[in-house]
Amino acid sequence: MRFSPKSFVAIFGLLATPLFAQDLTYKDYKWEQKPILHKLNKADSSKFEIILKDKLAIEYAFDDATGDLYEYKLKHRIIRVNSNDAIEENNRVYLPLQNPNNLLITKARVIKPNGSIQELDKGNIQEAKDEENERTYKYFAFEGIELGSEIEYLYLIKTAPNLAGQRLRIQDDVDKNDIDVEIISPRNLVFDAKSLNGLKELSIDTVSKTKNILKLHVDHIDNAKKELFAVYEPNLEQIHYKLQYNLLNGQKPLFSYNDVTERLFDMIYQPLDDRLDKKEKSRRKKEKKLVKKFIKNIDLKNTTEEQKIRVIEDYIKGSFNVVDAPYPQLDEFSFIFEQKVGSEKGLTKLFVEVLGQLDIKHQLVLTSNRNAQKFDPKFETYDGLQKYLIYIPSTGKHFSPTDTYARSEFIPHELTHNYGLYIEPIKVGNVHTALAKIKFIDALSADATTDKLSLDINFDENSISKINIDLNREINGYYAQYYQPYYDVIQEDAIKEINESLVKYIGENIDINDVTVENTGTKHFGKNPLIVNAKISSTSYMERAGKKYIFKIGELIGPQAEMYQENERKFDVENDFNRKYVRNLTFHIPNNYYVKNLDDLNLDVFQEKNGERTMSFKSSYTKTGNTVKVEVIEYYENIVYDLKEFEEFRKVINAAADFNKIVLFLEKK
Amino acid sequence: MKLIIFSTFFIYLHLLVIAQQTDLQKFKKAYPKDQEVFVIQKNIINISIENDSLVIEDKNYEEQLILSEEIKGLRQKSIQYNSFTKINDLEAYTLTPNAKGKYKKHKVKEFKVKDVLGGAIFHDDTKEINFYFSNIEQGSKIVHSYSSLEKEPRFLNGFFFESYHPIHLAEFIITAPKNVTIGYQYFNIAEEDLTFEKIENKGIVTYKWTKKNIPALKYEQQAPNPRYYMPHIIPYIKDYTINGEKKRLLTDVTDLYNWYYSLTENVNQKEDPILKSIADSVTANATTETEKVKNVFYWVQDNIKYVAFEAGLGGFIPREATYICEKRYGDCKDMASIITTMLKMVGIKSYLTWIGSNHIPYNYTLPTPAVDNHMIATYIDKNGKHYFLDATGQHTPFGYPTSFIQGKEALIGKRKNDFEIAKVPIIKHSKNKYSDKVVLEIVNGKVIGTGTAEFSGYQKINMTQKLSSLNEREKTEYLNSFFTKGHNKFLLDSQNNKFLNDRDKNFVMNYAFNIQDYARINEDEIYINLNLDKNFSNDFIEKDRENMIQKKFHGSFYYENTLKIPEGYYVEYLPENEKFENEKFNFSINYTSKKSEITLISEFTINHLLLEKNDFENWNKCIRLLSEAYNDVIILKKKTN
Repeated sequence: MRFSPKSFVAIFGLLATPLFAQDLTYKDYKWEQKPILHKLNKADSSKFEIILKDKLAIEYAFDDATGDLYEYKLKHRIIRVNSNDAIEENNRVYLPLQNPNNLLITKARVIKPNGSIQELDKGNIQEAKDEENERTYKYFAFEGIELGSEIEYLYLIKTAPNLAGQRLRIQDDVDKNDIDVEIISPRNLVFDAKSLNGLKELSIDTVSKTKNILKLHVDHIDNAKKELFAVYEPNLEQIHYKLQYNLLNGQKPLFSYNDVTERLFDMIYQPLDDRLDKKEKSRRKKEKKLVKKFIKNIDLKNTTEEQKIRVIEDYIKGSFNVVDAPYPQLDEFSFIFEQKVGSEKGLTKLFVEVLGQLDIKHQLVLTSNRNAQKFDPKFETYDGLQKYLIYIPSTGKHFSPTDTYARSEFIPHELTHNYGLYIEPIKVGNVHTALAKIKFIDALSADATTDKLSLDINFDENSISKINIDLNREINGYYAQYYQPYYDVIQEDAIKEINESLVKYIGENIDINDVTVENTGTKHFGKNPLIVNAKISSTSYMERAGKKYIFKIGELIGPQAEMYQENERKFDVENDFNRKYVRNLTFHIPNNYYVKNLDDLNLDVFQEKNGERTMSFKSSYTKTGNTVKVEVIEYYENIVYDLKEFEEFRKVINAAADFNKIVLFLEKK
Repeated sequence: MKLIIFSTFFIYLHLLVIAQQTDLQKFKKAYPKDQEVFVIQKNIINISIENDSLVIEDKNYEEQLILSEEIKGLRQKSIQYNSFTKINDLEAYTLTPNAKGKYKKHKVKEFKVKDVLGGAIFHDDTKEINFYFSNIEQGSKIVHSYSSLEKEPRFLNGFFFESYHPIHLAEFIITAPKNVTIGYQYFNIAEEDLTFEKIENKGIVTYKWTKKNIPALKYEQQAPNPRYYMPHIIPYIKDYTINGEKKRLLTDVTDLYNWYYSLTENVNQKEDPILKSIADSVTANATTETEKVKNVFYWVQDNIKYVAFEAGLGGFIPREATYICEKRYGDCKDMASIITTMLKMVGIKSYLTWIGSNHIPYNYTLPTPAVDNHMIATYIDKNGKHYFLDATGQHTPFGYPTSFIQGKEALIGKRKNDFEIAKVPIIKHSKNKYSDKVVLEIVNGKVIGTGTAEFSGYQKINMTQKLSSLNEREKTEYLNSFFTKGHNKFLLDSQNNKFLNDRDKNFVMNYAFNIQDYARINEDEIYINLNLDKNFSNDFIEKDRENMIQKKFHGSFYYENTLKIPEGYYVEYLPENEKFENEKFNFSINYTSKKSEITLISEFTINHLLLEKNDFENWNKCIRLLSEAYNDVIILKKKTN
């Protein structure tokens, strides 16, 4: 969801008073008149790229002329480039602007290894307009860069103020030295900041008598690289901040979850409040009437509450598409019903209105994508209120009102294992209002997302090198979500391709003789597993050694992720969702042959906490006559395994990859 | 005259809309597998002469019918154009059927313009008009039309008789006064596969091509640019006569060249002392002319970064060498400009050269700017050997063209009215070789080994590009995964490499490694597969593939794996040799056994840039044979005393 920053200015009474109008701290910010190349130690000078100065100052100040509050962002950076790639990574700068006049300062220059300086020709700053997003881009390329140069630029940009919470990511994928951050505001506007992931806290600068200044200086921050099974952005050293008080309005904390709950409730539920003006009240009434009529089309006969919700979800999502386009009409039912499309907000409004009219108790939930940022349950800001969910207390389950391909409790997994703001509509006397609560959105258990593979393997009568397999695969939960919904929308050619990919995940080199897929389509997702049946054959699972055969049975579970070499781990393990794999491999030893190393099939690697396995890879077999049944069960029950558990996680992951290497020797009796 | 043509066109379309109101059933039947169909795609180019100059108006009309019930709501559409074109009369609407089967028209009201930003080109003048069709549901028609004024008569648009949805009726029309000579060429289609008519009426000649019921284009990976296989026509104006005087525009490549020449003749007329001193100093130690050329080429590669600018005719005119030198960046034309200028400063002739990349299948028998999209410099030595100098390829060694212009025609501009068309050579596979020689031992059941890998030509460039962007840790990870042998328990223990950035030498890497669990021990026998890199084993081509496959270069992949036979063992079984020969690709696998060691030499050669449909069966045969041979395992057996 988006909050218009401007509306907050009005709401929180931040309008200017001449008392506070004053000069911008960095209005005349200057860089070094006669810069010289930094002297680097040996380690730094051997890096392809290093940021030698990174100054960021964000100032909130009132515009003298209009009295409006603005945010002024000053950025000043120096980068040493020691490789061609570093030059190419850094030789262009793009600045998105709300208005082309909002770029107050731009300077760029290159300090060359011989000490000479080449400043950007202002005439070479290009401009591109985008009417749709109402943006202008100014952009330029540095001039005269040579290997070993320092690239330096600074700019000051004016934008609408974001006061309700934002994050400044300080750590980067390259090393940085000499980092300065400042958050500056007029005396009456008090900001609060919180540092994350080991970054030092900002301190209050007491020198200035006229402004509030929060500042931070750090000499060096190591680069951070992406890691397997980990999120990236939330792990970076960063600052989370917001406006905490407007002293003109007293000591009431701003941007609290309680405050926003009221606003959200009004925005999404559109209650017929007596305080509304006539026009708005009648508009809301009309909208609600439309929904009343709409509900009549939904067949809800003979359903339980849980079934009802699924029927409603299928009906609404089947009738309307979600679009992200900058048109406010997309929030209105009249428009949605006529045009068959709505915004995320519009469809959320529709769901809660339908549930409300049907008297189904529910709560509205807002949370963030945990891959980008975690919802902070304590530091109350609005930047975590990005995505809508709906919670049904009677079933204890959530559903997503906006994700076209999500159904039932399978809400987008990046919204699970995260805190959220729960908004419960209530009625006090005649007044509609809402209660706010912060709760944790639990991820679904591994049993909800399973991938079961059964292979019945027969060695070909004519050539033992060839195996013929009857394959059966049943996929549930988030794994099924990758497939089931797409069958509704794709063309026939693509269906064949998806069907084959469902089989070929065990290996590329197989011939598919026949494949059928059942329970395709969104209507099955979250209810019935996707079932794949196929007859396949392949010669790539058998190696010949003279008259002996080496059966690469381990490869039949498909290539497994491995972390054999992962070292220097920095981040916690964080999985997308909990999951379970069950593989049953049955094969029939041909007459006249025997296998003597069946015990190689036994593996058991796991982590146990309080007597229960939190993750596990276990393979075992039974032999009856010539038939060998191998059972392989692997599961992960926790989204997060912290850094000190990493070794254990790695072992379980690698156990699956180790299983890939198991071979059986087939020898003539 | 022109006006009359337009109004008939619109009356005709209007009738069509009403007459086809119950089309859904009909089209669903005709295109049962498709979700949408283009009912009409139509393009009319009207050429006229006004005030003694050519006026070109390009009218487009497109009508699309939604067949699937899953498609509903809004749809974004964008139309791109640049400073050579002016878009007029843009109209767009949805026709949505009501219960009575009549269409209701929903007009698009908002059109928003955007400068296109990002991508490979840093700054150009491309703009995009974006708009949304609304009220879309099954049975809706989305329709848009516009006309554009082409300011440059050399840029007539081509017409494609195929699209990502089927086309029920495709129509391409050109009208021109008879004193304008029109040329056109067919690609991937013959004239008899189209309905073509040419009618002259009152001094206006109308060329009209139509085709009906065209199935949807099949999208396939690794296919070359669609221009290689989509049926299309490219028209052009050869000449026109005004007041009895014939003016040549694009009669043949001479006209194209003369135009290009006129755009470039005024560039680099003044000599810049700074650039001159650079040119002098980089060539100071060179003893031969060719060496001087090489030094200049390398200097430009190293010092001028690729930043592309394409605004208006600026997309065709290289900038001054002085400017490029000062800014230290430029696009392909600029690099050609600075190379030719620096060479001229040291007394060496070289030439601006126009060329098309491998995205373009045409040659200069089509005398239009559609043939080229790139500029390089050409140097011809005293023996007549051509050096195609493309400094946009940062790691390209002197003597190699960039891989994407191999086999293409180069239009070399020598002087006014003098040009040469030369073919850029295709570098032989042996000069793009990856060779990897490994010696293995089995120590306590674990395989350990040392290797020497050598990369030449384009294989080396790939490696240089990759490695130079990585830090030490990433480099180790990348090399470990690149060299993985046997299976993914391969671990690179150490490596040292040389000549990564020396363009004149092959990249050489010496390394040591171990692979756990690779040799399989079964009592007194050891099984080991010496095919450590099963390169190409999964590269089967889908049986129903339609489109050709494009490769970047010819190449050779050579593996020599020697296994030391462990003390106390002998070779119980040695796999058979295997080979496949074909002029476009081949492989051989050869085992030799000596007293204390076994050597496998395996080589795969790619000898083509395009693999065509009739090669697919052979290719699959080759891969089948190869992957079977890969499954053959050596047995070592313990000697009995």
